[in-house]
Amino acid sequence: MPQVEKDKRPDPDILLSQIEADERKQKRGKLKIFFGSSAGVGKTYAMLQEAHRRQREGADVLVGIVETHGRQETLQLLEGLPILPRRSLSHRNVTMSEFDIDEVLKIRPDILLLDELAHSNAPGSRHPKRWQDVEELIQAGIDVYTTLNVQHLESLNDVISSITGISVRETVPDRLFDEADNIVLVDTPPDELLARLRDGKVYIAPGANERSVQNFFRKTNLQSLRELALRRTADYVDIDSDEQRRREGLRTPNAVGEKIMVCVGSDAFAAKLVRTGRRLATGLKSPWLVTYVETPVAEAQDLRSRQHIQHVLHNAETNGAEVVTLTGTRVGDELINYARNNGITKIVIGKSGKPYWASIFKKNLAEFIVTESGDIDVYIVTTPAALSVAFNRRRVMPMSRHEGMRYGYAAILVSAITFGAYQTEFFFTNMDTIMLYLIGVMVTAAGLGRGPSLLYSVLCVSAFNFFFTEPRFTFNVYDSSYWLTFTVMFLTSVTISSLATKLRDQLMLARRREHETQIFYNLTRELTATRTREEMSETVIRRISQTIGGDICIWYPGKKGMLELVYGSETGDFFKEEVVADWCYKNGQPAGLGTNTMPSACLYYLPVTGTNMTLGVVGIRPKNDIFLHGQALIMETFVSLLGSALERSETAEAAEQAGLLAEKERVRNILLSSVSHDLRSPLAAITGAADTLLQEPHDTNSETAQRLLRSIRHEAARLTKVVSNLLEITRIEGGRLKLNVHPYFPPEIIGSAAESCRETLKNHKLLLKSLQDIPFVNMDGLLISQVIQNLLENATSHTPPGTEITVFADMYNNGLRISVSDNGPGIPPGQEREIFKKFATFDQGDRPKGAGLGLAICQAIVSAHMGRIYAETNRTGGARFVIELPSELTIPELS
Amino acid sequence: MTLQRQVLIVEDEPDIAQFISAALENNGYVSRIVGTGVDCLRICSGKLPDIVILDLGLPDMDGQEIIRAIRAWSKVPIIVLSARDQEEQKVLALERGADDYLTKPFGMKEFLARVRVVLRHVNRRETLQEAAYCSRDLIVDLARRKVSVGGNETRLTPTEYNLLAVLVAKAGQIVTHAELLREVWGRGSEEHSHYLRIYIQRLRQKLGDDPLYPRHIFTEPGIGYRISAEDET
Repeated sequence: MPQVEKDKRPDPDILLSQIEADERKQKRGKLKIFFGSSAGVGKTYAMLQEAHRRQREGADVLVGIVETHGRQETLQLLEGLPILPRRSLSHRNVTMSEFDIDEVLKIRPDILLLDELAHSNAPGSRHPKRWQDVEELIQAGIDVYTTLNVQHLESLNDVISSITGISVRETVPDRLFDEADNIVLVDTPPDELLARLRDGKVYIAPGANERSVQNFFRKTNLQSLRELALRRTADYVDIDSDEQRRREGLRTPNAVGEKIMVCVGSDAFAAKLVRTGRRLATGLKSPWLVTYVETPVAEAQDLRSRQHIQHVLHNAETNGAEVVTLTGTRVGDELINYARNNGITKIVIGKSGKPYWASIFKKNLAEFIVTESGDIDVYIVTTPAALSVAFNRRRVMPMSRHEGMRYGYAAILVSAITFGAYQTEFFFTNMDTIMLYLIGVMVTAAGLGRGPSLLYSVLCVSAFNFFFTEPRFTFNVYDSSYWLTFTVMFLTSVTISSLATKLRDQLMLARRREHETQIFYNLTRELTATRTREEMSETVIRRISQTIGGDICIWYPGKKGMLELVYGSETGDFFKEEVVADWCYKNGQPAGLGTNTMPSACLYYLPVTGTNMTLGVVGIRPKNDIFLHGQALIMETFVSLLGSALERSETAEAAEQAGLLAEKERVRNILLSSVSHDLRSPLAAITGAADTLLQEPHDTNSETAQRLLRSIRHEAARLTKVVSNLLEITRIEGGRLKLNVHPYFPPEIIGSAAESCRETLKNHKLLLKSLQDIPFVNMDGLLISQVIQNLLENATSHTPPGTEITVFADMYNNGLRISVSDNGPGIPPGQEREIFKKFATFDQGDRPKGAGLGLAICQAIVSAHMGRIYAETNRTGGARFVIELPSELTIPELS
Repeated sequence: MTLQRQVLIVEDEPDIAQFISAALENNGYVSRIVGTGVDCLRICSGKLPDIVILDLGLPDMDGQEIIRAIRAWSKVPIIVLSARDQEEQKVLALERGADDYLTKPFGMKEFLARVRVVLRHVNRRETLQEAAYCSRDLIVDLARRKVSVGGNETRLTPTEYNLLAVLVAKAGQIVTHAELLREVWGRGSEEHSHYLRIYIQRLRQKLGDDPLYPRHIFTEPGIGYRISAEDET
């Protein structure tokens, strides 16, 4: 039995991701979609009825956008529901009213009604599409009710346009539909719908083509659409129940480990491939990915195709695909390798509508994949001829000047070789000349690329013909065997050129990879060396501008959590786009140029994310306002490196702070206990003595009175010392200790120190000695005098009266050494280092001496002099404290 | 009966003012206590006391400002009392014209001795310059610029003599580094305190004064030097 139980137990990983998803959902608002097969089925009506029901239950319902299209029933239903005023937007002198998302986020209703999920917003709105507004609202925790027609679903777009003959531009990603919390299917049989159409109860956009309307609302169309809607709803229910089953530890019936890979190129066909892949993946309930192979040739592509492929990949990502960009020269190999290594079971690939003869010379990609795929299933989708044209467009791009130069060089090289060979023809056979030309083709192919080397091939054959074959200076030949020579020469030349270019491309690619790796490596290394946010930001900005170029800015949250522009290259006018940066920061999503959020912005904004929060925003305006896909990746990597570096520095800072706090806490605790003891005992003695004197008025000259007064005086002196030591250590610790270094005469310092504690030393025998010819030594005389005073006081308080204390100054290795030794009881063994710690007072019975700060102060002062202080036991068994100051003092300021 | 000396105590802590007052009265002075800088200046602008004991931390004014204000018109001796044990404060007060300085807490004996020295110095100033300074075995004949130790004449260079003369002129009182440098080496040399230490060292050598156990010239670390007060005769 336990065995069975174990098997049934849900996979902890699945459970965990479930919990996470649930948590995310709890914070998120709920999305309810009223789904129908076509206009006029009554989705808006159903939504409003539901809204009324919820309002009666006490929910706070707000109507964002509801299109009544002037229909009475719907208008009536709107009564009693609060309606959000629309925002006026002016764009190119046209004023439009649009949905006001900011107002909703301010009002925060429980439920918001937002008709027509597929609607495209007016230009200048935050998001281009309404479904993106909906996503943000849900993210913000607001429940949204919306309506959707089946033809607007991204994955069904192709199918429906082929059924109805009308292509729909406004689409909604299927992801949104599948992740909706509730789908309400609003279904009306086609006959009824047609009846309503005749009654004018179905909204037809004014100015719509009568015929196309007629075409669309045909019974067969409506039936197909209805079928699709029902099926799609069934799919949704299926996915939902799968999730439920997974949660309960049951295996899903269709989980057979399928993985689909869609291979796209930068042609117009890519979008269709993505849609096909998605449908397939949904049907199989399998994960899917979209691969794009970036080739060196792709680098030279025009902006339009780059933008296009970016758009397609982005679209695939929003539809739940994993997007993979591969780099390589041989597209087919790259794809097959990737598929093999990543457990792909199905490949979706397009077949271009090229004429048959084109594939005789060169196998097309689809054929190559089919041959190489082995046990991977391959689905081939045919490209309509019309789309192929768009694909070829880039080939008629005008040559850049640079490109033209390269062709020029190829021509020059042919001329040079021809000239050289012609001049020296006496020594060479024609065979040698051909060889010379072939060397040239290698040079051209390796140095100048495919086009110029082809030109070279043509030119060199022509030149050979013109200059070296009889009759000279014509393109005619007497010896017809030369035709074979020409053909072989041309083919060899083309083959060499093709091979060499391929090599060159591979080399360039390898170099670029190497370059990228180097860039990341450099950045990582530089970031490790930096400490502050300023340094890190500057490093990243420098690297980005070196690698990608363009204008860059960085925003960080300032005080009060408002985003502040911290860095920006001089040319940018970044302040205008604060809203975009702010949105990016708050939502942790890229925004601005090339994204779905405020795409009209000039810059692309990327959030700098840490493990669980956004740390800032990096904005960039790339050159020509477009990224290569690879560049976007570099950019993302840079920003994520910045993120982790920032986080690392913050963590380090926090740890340091915590350490400091702990140390402070420790010192404070010791200080409290130490001070309370050291201050209280003399205070108690003073209070006691004073009380005694007050209670029994003595003659101040009597022996008792004198004894009491002396004790008051003594205890007060002790208190004074404790307090001044505390002040001194605070001063040193507060970083205000600045050395004032000058040449001092050591005996003078010792003499003045002894003089300062004459009172303390009166019960001890003090012996001051110094080397006869001791020189002046660089030091802060005042502080060293303080050290000696502390050592003397330390000696008096740890030795019995009458003890001999000797101060001796001499030189060691050109440095000054001052020792303070006594013949008292000495330092307890093993305590020689401990006593220099703050608040270290070793146990001496019931009388603590000082707050244990004197030696810590000495230590701090001597270390500031780059010197050394230590304690040892001397020959008499007493203590000996030694200060060593290097004579060549280069003394830094204490921070 | 000699004329009793008038002492003005400027101190805002009643307890401290009380015990200073008591100590002074016991030693034959007449004292008056004020708690604010304004009162102090008001009294000083009338009949001047013989000596002012001034606390630097007053509620209404900074003591340093009071010293400057008084010094604007009067040379009345000022002894500064303060809890501030920062050397800069001591030096500043002395530079502004205070005659001596004591850091709280201080011993009463010490305090009374300082008061006596300051007043004696003023006496001497009043009864014109004495011709010679005499302390233990050191005699400085100011008129003839001769110095002798234990009866033997000591030859000093002009700089050494000048240095000694400045100290002797304020015997028993601290002379700040800056003042010594200014008086001996001239204005602008206040920064070169190591000259001073080197010359003091030579002077000590010639006077037979061991820096470890000074009898004549005492070092006040970070502030200046003091030559022992004259023997009381």
